[in-house]
Amino acid sequence: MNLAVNHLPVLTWNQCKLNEAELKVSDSLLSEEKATDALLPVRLPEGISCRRGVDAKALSAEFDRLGIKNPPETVVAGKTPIYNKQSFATGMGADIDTLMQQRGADLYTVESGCHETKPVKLHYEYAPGQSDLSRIFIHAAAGSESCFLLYWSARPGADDYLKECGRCSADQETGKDAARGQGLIGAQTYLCLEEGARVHFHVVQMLEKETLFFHDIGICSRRDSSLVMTKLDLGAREVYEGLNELQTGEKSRFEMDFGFLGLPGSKTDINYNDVFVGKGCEGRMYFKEALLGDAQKTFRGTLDFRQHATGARGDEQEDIILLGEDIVNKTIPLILCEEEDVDGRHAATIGSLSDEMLFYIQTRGIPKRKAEELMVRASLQHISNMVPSESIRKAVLNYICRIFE
Amino acid sequence: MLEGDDRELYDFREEETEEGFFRMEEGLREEIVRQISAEKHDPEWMLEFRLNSLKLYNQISVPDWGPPVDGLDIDHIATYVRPRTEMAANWDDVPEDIKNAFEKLGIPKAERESLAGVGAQYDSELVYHNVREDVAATGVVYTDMESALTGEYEQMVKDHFMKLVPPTEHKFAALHGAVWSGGSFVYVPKGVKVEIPLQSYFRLNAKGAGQFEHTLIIVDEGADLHFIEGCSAPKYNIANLHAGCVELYVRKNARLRYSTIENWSKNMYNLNTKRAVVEEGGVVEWISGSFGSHESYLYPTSVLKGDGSHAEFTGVTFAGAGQNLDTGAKMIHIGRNTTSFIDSKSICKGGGISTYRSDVQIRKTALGAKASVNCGSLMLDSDSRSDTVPGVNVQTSQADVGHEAKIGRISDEAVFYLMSRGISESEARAMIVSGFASPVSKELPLEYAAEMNNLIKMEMEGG
Repeated sequence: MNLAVNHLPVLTWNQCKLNEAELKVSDSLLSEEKATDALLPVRLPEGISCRRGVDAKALSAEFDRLGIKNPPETVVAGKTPIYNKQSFATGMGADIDTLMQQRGADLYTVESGCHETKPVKLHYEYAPGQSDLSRIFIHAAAGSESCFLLYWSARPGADDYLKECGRCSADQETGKDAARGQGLIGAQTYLCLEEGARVHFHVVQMLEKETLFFHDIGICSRRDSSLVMTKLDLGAREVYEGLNELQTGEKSRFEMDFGFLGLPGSKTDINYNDVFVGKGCEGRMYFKEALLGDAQKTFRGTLDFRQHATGARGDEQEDIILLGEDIVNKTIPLILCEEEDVDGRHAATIGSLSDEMLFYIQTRGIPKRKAEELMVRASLQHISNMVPSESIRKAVLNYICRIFE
Repeated sequence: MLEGDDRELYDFREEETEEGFFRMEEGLREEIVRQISAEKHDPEWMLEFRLNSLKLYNQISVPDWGPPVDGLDIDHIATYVRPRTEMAANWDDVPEDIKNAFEKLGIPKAERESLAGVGAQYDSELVYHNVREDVAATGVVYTDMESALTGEYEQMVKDHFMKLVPPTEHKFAALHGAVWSGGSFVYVPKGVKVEIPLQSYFRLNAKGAGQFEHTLIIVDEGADLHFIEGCSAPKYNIANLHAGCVELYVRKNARLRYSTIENWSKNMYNLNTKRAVVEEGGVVEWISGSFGSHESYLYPTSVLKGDGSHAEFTGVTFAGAGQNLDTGAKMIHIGRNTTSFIDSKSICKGGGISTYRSDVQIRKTALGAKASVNCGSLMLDSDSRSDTVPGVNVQTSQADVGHEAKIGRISDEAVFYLMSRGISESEARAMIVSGFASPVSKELPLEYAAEMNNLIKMEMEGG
């Protein structure tokens, strides 16, 4: 099954190969899909409930009930009408809806009176070669406050590959890891924040290196709502990430910090869109990335200011450290604007560690490899420190250390 | 160059008569291509090139990523319109009506005052070409493409013509290859520094016609040149087409500045292709002001082939009512320690659509490359649209790339400040917009900077 995903909201030169990505999912992976070994909380905090296994029809009815729909877009040449196909727009697009059609969703509801700052931890742990597709919908009612932590990890003992993958990507070519088999882990997550709702949403992915992973996110933020999000993508061989944040409400806020580590031999494709519809809404997306060995990465990031979104402010920044001789890094940060009274900005820095900095560190007796580790750690630790779980923060640091051992 | 700031300066028309002009049948067929080739006394290889390009044109589809070109029907475009006159080297020998057109645009005056040479194209052919004697004496060749093609520079043309922009590149490059006519050929010998600029001015006067001029410039080792290109056309209620092609060869340690003030009329489809290849230590600088046309596709490309070569693009685009201008630049780093810099400004008003589009490629071989992209957009109302679509592709870790983009409006505080000094609101806004575009105007010779500021003023007044 070949899925067209991560569409650029406006097209550019086809030869750049940035307009969309292709996600190839073999039928064998889908047939081997098993129920997740999710370590879900036995008891949810008061004010938060969960309905499991909601089918696609009921999920769609829930979207309708909540009045979630895409605002009409100005017809502009070259604009991909991809989101029109989705009732709840996501970053990866309509083909993921089709893939996930048969999967039941877990529907979390945060009630109005709930003010829970401790995270609801949803931990999914997989053995090598395991496949699983899951759907989650978080509905934060008006004035509520909640925190969710989504964590994908390899089963303990299954991540011994880290040392070798940090050192040598050639293992893949020699088939040394082939026996492990490739697994498919995919998730679609929807968040709807009603008026004044506050949600902290943390996502950490440290899956086994042969894994094919995707995470498709759709968000609808209403008046005065606030979503603070951190995301760390550290594992897996092939990663697809998509997010569409539709800030329909006035003065809604969205803040996101994304840390990403591209391992040797890995391929990553990201498409994050922040769509400003409501007046005075604010969005910030910061990306910290490190690419190792022959990692390949494509990043699409869009600030989309719609007409009447007066006073909206959007800020996007991408900092990438290149640590491999054979890396491929493609970046296309878009600003789309049909409103005069907005403020949008984007900045990107792409480069290796400067010779001067390396020399300085080496004169202090620190070898080059360690210096690189320090820089990557410094870059990602800033984000992992925001994750509300000490054990995960430690796991992240250990993970990075082992990559560079 | 221009005195006054009235749009009529560009929109005046000289009605074309059958006696004064030869107009090719509309449409694009093999007979038409053969006829153009015969009219121009092409060598055999050029006829073959044209016919191959026509085949490609019929095979390649229209781009799906840019402004729509549905309003452009090639079956209703005359691809060749020739004034019934020979090219002159003296303004007095140019037919009166055509001379009047260029007089109104200030071309002869500019030549007298500030240019080393001028080429003036009217519809499909050059009607005037001249280069100052002292410049010619240094060995600089500045002539029309046809003379170069059929004269002593034929081999040089054959070696370079559409080698940088092959007709396979896209549909309108193929169209250009099939029906090109007019344009300039420039060769600057080794070590020669041309102190004052050369200029080509392109005027498309015919209704429902296309202009397909080809500019080929070779700046040899250590040489230096500033070339200025200007374009305009009167407005008609049917589509006109401009699908020109510019190929620039910048040899080792040479420098070329290519400046353009484009002010086509607002019924024009401007589908122009410009590309430079820069060898070791060479420098190419693009200065670009895009004001006119109904729709534009324009992305000057620099191929930094030689080690230590450098490219800069400084551009401003102003999209007013009824305009959809898709402009930007491409930088392709191949050599080691190559550097590039893009500084682009977009302004839109009155429902205009402006798209900044770029592609910076750092190839695997470009160790030590550095690139910087800076693009700013100014929205003057909420009926307009401004998009920035900048792509970066880095294939080596030994590179540094920085990118910055910003979009916003004119600050009320700045307008208030100027108004408190006795300046009217409209003037204050025009001043701020001119200031926003100043990275381009300050790079132009004074006369052209003044023309650009006039164009901004006209656009701000809705002219």
